[in-house]
Amino acid sequence: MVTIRVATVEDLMWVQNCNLMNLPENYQMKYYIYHAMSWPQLSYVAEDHKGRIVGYVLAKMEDDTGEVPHGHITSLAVMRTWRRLGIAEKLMTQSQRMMVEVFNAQYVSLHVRKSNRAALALYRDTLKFDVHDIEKKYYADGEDAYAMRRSLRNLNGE
Amino acid sequence: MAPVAPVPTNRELPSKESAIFKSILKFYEHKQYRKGLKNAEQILKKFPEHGETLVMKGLFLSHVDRKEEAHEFIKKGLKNDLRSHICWHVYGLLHRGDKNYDEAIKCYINALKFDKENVQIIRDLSLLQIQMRNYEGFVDSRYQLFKLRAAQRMNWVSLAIAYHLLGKLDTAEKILTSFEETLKDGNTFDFEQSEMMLYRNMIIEETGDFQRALDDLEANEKKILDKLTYREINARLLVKLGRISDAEQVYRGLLKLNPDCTAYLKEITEEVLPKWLELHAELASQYPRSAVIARVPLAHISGDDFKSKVDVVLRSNLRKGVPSLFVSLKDIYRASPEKAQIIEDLVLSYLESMEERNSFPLQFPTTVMWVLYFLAQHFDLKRNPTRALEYINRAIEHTPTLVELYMMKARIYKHAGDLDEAVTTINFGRELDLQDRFINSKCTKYMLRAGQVERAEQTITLFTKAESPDPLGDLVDMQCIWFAYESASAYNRAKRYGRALKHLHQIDRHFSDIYDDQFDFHSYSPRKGTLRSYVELVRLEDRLRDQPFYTRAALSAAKLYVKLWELKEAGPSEAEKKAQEDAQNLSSSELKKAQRKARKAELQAAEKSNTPSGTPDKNAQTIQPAQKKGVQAAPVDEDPEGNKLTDPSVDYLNEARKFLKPVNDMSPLNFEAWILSALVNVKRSKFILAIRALLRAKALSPQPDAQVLRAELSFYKAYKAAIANSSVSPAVVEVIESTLPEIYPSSLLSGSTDVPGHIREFWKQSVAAGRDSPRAAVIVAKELKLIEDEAAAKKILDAEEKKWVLQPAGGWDTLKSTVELQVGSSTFVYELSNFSSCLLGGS
Repeated sequence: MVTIRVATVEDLMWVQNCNLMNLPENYQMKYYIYHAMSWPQLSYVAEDHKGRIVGYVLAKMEDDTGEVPHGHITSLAVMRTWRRLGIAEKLMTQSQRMMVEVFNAQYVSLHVRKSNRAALALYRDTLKFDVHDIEKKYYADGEDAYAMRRSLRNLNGE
Repeated sequence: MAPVAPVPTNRELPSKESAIFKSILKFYEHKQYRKGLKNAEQILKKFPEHGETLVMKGLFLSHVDRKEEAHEFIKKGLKNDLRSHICWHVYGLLHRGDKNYDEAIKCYINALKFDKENVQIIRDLSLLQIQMRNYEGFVDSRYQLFKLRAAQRMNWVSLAIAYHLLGKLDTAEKILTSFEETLKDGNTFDFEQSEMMLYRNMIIEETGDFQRALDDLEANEKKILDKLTYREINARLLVKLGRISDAEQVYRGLLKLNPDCTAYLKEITEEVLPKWLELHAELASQYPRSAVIARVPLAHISGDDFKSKVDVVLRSNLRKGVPSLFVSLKDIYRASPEKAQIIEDLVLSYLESMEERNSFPLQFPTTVMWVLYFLAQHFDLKRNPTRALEYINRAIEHTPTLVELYMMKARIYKHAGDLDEAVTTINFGRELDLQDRFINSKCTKYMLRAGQVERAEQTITLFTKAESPDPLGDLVDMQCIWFAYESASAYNRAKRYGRALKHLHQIDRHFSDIYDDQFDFHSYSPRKGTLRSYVELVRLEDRLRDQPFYTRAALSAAKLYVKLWELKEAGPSEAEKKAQEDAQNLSSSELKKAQRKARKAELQAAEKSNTPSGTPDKNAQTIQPAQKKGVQAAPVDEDPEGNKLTDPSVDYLNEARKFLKPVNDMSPLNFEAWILSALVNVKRSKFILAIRALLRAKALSPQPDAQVLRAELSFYKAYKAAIANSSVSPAVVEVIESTLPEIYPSSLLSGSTDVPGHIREFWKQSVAAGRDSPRAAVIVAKELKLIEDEAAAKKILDAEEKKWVLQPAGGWDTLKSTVELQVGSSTFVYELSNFSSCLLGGS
């Protein structure tokens, strides 16, 4: 049984741990703190009955001036042992709502490796993202990324 | 300009150079370090002794990675002009960059002597003061800035924060309120203002005046953009004010937005059945997708009601194939053997209906496999590996390509004690999905547990940067603490203590780095406006080392240092000597190997061009977290075995104490930490610290406790011996003697009972209180010198401790039912079932 809630500063070390166990793209703690200090409403965690963080979404608003405000998913992961419960979808739904409510985001974007078929299916089919562009050699190892987007205009607050 | 001391004759520059100097300062502000450097050199050509230019040159050098020269120039420049606030300021910046915060503060204070109202310096000083948690100094500096630059919004806000952290809540609130009044509100709501409202409300709530907090919250509703937080605070305040039904309405609204939040659910349903159950039924029909709402009642109902509800949950999750189904029911198992039995019966009946009658409604082709998977987990929890293996193998037969099945099978082997087979199994699973880091991480962990360290390192580095010359170093860069801890434990088991300590010290350094990380946010957050989060961060950093990752690393390190101390005292045994020699040989040959490898990599790297590593998210510009790696090979580790850490000249006990102190301070309820602290301090002959730790441990554990006994005996013997040697000062003796009766019975203190008699009395009490577990028995037996090697018994006793409440249907036949212990040169065998009484000869 898993509860979905906003990430607190205290959660960050556990989020980092979850990220290191599940994904090859990792960050130093300062970067997590930077997210929590800049957009405290946007990152969410999934916590099991024992208080362990089994999934998270680390999200931000893009700072490009001149562009319409939009959110960005820095990282999203759910421990393999907790998959098939719709946790990723639940995390994203909450985060996206806050992007609209607090920051007036018009759309949300993210990057995914071209070869990562599982993630692609999750974002495209379950989470309703579209491929917006291909960014060549986006990743440190030279792999291309799909830049994906999802409009948030129809998410008008309930 | 405030009057300053007379300028030394060599400080004034002619107008041309003076203009260049002013531009240098601008270059620094704009981070154009190379331009600044060039211009500084221009001045120095004509005025090579100009103190202020010399320090600026040093400052620029420090930003282009020429640290040593930076130090030289700054020190020289300062010497040439000791009354320059610029020189002192820059020297302070240098210290700050080196993290010598106390020194930096001294420099800033000196700088301010020569330019009292220099806003830049006061601001830099304030940052250090908050970093060092000098709250009073912080308030002073922020107050000065507030007076000097009242028009800057940030100065009001920072002053409020300073008072808040100092504990002067009313003052903090007043400042924020006054500030808010100066902002004429248009209809533009901005994020910063919204956050400030919430921050001020937080302060009001902290004063305890919940009604006022509620009024304030409601008055500012329109300005607060973060509606979710608004509602959460609203609900919380209503609860604090006792307005439960009003709170319930708000929580219902929150549940609508997020039906998966147990916190909201708890607040609504902290009431007594049966209304609570009705409530649940209502919520369940409103939010059918919420797993949380479906699950919560299961803990509270029983009998047939439980059976029918859990049947629904089980069927739907087994159909869907949810891997975590079993894990999410574990707390129910532990709480109630009857419910566990109901679940067992149900799931076995599903299997039967599928296999024998093919009559499980809405079955998918994989459902039977998930049922088998569940049963494997179930019987593994019951410690019946034979039956568990049966089920998992059938599941694997059904679907040989599912990674989860191999993970489970490996777990079964692990629990049964066959770590090598566990590794083989989980590695097979890993190879089925080479793209998944999770299975890679788990496999690595199993390898480390089985002592296959090199293999583990090869496995985990499959997921670090491919081109990197130092993949394990990359893991350190990314602060991968779990791997460091498991590696340390593996090396510890292999008796390569130096390597283990290296990893544990690394973990400690990560925590220090994370403490340092907050520095930039002292200026960033007030500007950004996210004040609540900032205060949360400061408070978290205050107790950073209460984090379990630190605690377990610290306790391991302390125990290891104690072991090293004991080995040193006893003189190493032949076996230990050999192990150490092997480790030495290993280290010198490994060192040669590493040097060869590094030279090769350097040559290769010189040919290719290497891109600096950055974070994959290109937009992380504002705060730069990652360091750049240049075109170099990995630095050669001069001390791979960690011999510097285990060298006999090291004060082992002091090192242990250093690890333990933060645990005692920040996790004062950690029993093991107090016990260790007592033992370490006894060995250091710090009797007052030891007895204090003893008392803390005793207070935390139900009595009688065998570990407490051991610590008490250790203290008693050491103290008595020290008294006999007259090596305890009278002041200490006085304190101790007055405390002894709190711990030891008068019969022992008066001498009418001897130590063995005391121990036997302790055991009698343990039996009477039902605290005579096999583990306690082993400790007591060791103290009575009935056995020598208690570690041998530990593995088997671990199984005893993990025993499930229900007696396993499979019995104990697949596990050892006896314990072998060495007494002198003989080995005795004890039956586990009446281990304690056999070992200690009855009550």
